[in-house]
Amino acid sequence: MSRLFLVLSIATIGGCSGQIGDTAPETPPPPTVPPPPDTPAPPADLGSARWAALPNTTPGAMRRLTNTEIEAMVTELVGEHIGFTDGFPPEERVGGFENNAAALTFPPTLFERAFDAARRAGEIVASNPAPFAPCAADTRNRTCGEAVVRRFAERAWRRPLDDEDLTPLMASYDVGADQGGFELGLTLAVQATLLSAPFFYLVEDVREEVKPGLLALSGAERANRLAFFLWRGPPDDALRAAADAGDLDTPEGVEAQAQRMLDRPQAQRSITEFHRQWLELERMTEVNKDLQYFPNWTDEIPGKMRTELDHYLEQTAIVEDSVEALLTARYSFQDETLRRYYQDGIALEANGFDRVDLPPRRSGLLARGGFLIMEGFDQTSPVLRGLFIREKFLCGELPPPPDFVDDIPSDPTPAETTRERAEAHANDPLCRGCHQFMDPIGFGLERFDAAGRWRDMESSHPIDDRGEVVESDIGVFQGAAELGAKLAKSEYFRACFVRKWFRFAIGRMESKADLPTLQALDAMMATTDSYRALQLALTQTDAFLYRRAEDAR
Amino acid sequence: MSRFDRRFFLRGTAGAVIGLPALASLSRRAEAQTTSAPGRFVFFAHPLGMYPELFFPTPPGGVPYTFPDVSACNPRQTRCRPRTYRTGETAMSNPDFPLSRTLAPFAPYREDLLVLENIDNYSGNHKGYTCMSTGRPINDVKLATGISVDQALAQHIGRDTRFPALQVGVKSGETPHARHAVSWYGAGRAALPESNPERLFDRLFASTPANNDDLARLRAQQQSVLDATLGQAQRLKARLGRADQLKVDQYLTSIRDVERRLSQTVEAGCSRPDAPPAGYDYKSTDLVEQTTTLQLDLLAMALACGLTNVATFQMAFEATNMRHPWLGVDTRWHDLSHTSGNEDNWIDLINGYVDIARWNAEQIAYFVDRLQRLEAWSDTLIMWTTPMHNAQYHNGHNIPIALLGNIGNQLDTNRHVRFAAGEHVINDVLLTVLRLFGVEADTFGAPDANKRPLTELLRSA
Repeated sequence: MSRLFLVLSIATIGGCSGQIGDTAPETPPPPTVPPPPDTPAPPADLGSARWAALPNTTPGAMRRLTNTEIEAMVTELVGEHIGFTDGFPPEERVGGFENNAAALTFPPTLFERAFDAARRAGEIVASNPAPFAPCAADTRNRTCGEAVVRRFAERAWRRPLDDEDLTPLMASYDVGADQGGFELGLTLAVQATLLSAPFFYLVEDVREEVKPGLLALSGAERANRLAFFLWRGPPDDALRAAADAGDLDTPEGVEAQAQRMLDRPQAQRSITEFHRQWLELERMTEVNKDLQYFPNWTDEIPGKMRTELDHYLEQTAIVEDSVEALLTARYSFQDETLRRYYQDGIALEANGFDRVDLPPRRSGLLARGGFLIMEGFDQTSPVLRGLFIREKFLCGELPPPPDFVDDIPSDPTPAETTRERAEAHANDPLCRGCHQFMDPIGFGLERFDAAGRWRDMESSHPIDDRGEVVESDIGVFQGAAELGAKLAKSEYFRACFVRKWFRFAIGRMESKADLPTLQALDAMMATTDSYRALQLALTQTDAFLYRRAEDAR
Repeated sequence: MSRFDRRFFLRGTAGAVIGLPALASLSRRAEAQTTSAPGRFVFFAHPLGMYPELFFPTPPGGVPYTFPDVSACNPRQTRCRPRTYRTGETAMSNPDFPLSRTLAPFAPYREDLLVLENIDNYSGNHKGYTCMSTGRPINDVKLATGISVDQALAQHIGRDTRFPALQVGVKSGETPHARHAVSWYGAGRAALPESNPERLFDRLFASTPANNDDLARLRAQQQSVLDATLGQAQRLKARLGRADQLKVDQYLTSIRDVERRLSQTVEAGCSRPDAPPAGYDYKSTDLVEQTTTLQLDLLAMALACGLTNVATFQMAFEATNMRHPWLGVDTRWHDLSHTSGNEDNWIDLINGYVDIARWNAEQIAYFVDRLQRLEAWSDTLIMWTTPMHNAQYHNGHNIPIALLGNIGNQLDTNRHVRFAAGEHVINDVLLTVLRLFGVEADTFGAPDANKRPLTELLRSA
């Protein structure tokens, strides 16, 4: 039953490399296009070949918190959202996610911004320190200050403090108290705490080997892994207490806590963050359309589509907890503006973003306006839509177009449909090698224009929206709704979904040694649609429960 | 004999690092170790190309450009004009060049102007925005694959300034992406521009207290905080394996950068400018004129005060669709740069496209005027360029480049210099810039895109 995961390394098909002729008179003779690295030859068992080709992924031992996680930490500590990470440089994504340990660097600007933000946070805490130490309600001396600082730093650094930790923080306190008393002392000590490495980094110590190549984690370390996976934020008191009591020393104990945590509101953040990163949702609000072709487009549309999609994700992924619902649900959440815009025949009266039942053609994630507008300015881009689906839903990896290829399509003309124009270039044998994996998928979405609306005709030509997903278990389809339904049943999609979640949970790319884990997860995911089940299962994997010996070097 | 003589310029990397001469400007601080003021560089990044027919000067004996009769174009042929515009294929130098419509605002500074033609970008298309400053391709996640010219220069002339390199913008992009950043610390590491005048002001000027006592007190506070973080980082580092130690080193570098920032003094001769209005709407299209002025004023003062010697200024970002209502141009910028020639109002659209470029030249001219008033213009070099010539073709050949200013009087300015077509890539220009500042380098960016420094631009020895 467990099917080995297929990743499309496109050069395996052989057509994606080779020389491409010069079609533009001014361009110089093109260099040979080399095949992408790490491309296995097409074997019978494509899954294991891929693992053999992958190098072991880089260490994930010490990981910087992402901006989202830092903000969650500060909100938890300070008691309010203060925009601590405003102006922080965004993270780089690896394998689609921001929490890749190897890729999370520390840009100079980040510390600069954090320096001022930490001072602000310090001032807020210093104005109301009592939550950290009861003495602060009526005492303002150094002993009480130390109690506040100790408690604050333990929570901020997510571990107990020793004297060597405390001394430099209290040295800052002393400078501040000397100049401005208790409050300035606390301000500086808190500022220093929030700028220190133990705040920004999750660190795991080297411990004993418990299985071949796997080292133990302490209770506190497992608590951090649980909290930052399931909540994208710090552990709560109950989780810390469970860690202290040794409850997290067994996989069953970990699962019990995970169950509890998945019931808490913080768990929504994990789902929201997964989808935001997986589907690159922040791109949506930057979208612009050519008013010459889409006169109904206004600047407020992308923001509204994003809101629609946020509600849709909440309902399908969180409330219904179903990846099948994500891909096939026949409802959405639209306000009057969107209903008027989409013209799907839905009654216009709305009280904000109400739930609506949709015509069948609009079922599923792939038919959501926000998804459909992400590519293309004056016309649809079957290539880019196809590429997005190939990469996000099937974990395909295609090399970029050769540098000298003009990757902007020709202008729309009344003479041909977008599909016909794209087919013309894709039929070039030198282009087809890669484009066969993208264009036919995008063709199946052509009944939705680049601005997310349904159309039957394209400049007086009827639209042919038959599509195909080659090299997969999906095959031919027609329209976005059918593609969604087929993806929901596709083992290839399920395996890709598992790998995306693995990266999101573990903070590194999957490697050869993870194959048994992934196969077990694939098997489980073949029997359920539940996000929760997958998250729980991930907390039970070796990758989550232990640390790799190689990461400790 | 000036240190910046031609023989030095041609020298390879075998020689030792050479100190740079003192300069006359009153507002610069003298350095103890090296001689003062190594020069200043500002890279102005313009998106979406410029209409080359009205950027490049008419060549000698040529006819001033007029719009063609587009009604004659075949309706099925979407492009009426040649894919790459050139005034000619061969090398030439014209000191009597007429200022084109786009370059007309530089008239008061014509003596310091060099217009370069037939330089190709490393890559065409919108991604060329990053290539024009790095001279390297982008990777498949649309990030640069190497350091940009400003950051490379900052490593030499920005080491002792509070901000080794400053990135400023107006309505610029906010995520690391080839279309949003021209300044890159290195492969994959973008230095994004600050588009918010309030935040820029805070970074540059706000943390400077009014008097020395307050300054000393604040310094003590800040230093104590930094000491605590440094100590903790060293403790952590001692527990870690090699790969993780490198991560902590990066973090430590950031701390030391801030530490150095704190220890710099602001020039006595500089005046702290007024803060921008609180809550200023820096994203508003209707305020772009004022925002640009605010940003350029802050940048000029930062340079004059020695807070930085190297900067990039980004107007919007590549493939932007911003409008220019104050110019009477309502069509969006990306649309204007992608006309087909078949539009009924094609000439109006092109005029809009040119007006935008010209307006940007006016802003640069304003900036030069500010620098002159602050006595910070001598030994300053501005480079203004864009990743494509006419963006409709997404073609990176023959990109518009203007150099304004001089370093040590090395450049033979006040010319239109045309190179032989297809001979040089932007890397040669960027290398030339670095060598003007005394950086001993043989190549910049992708090595095989370098041919040689452009000695044609220099005064003869």
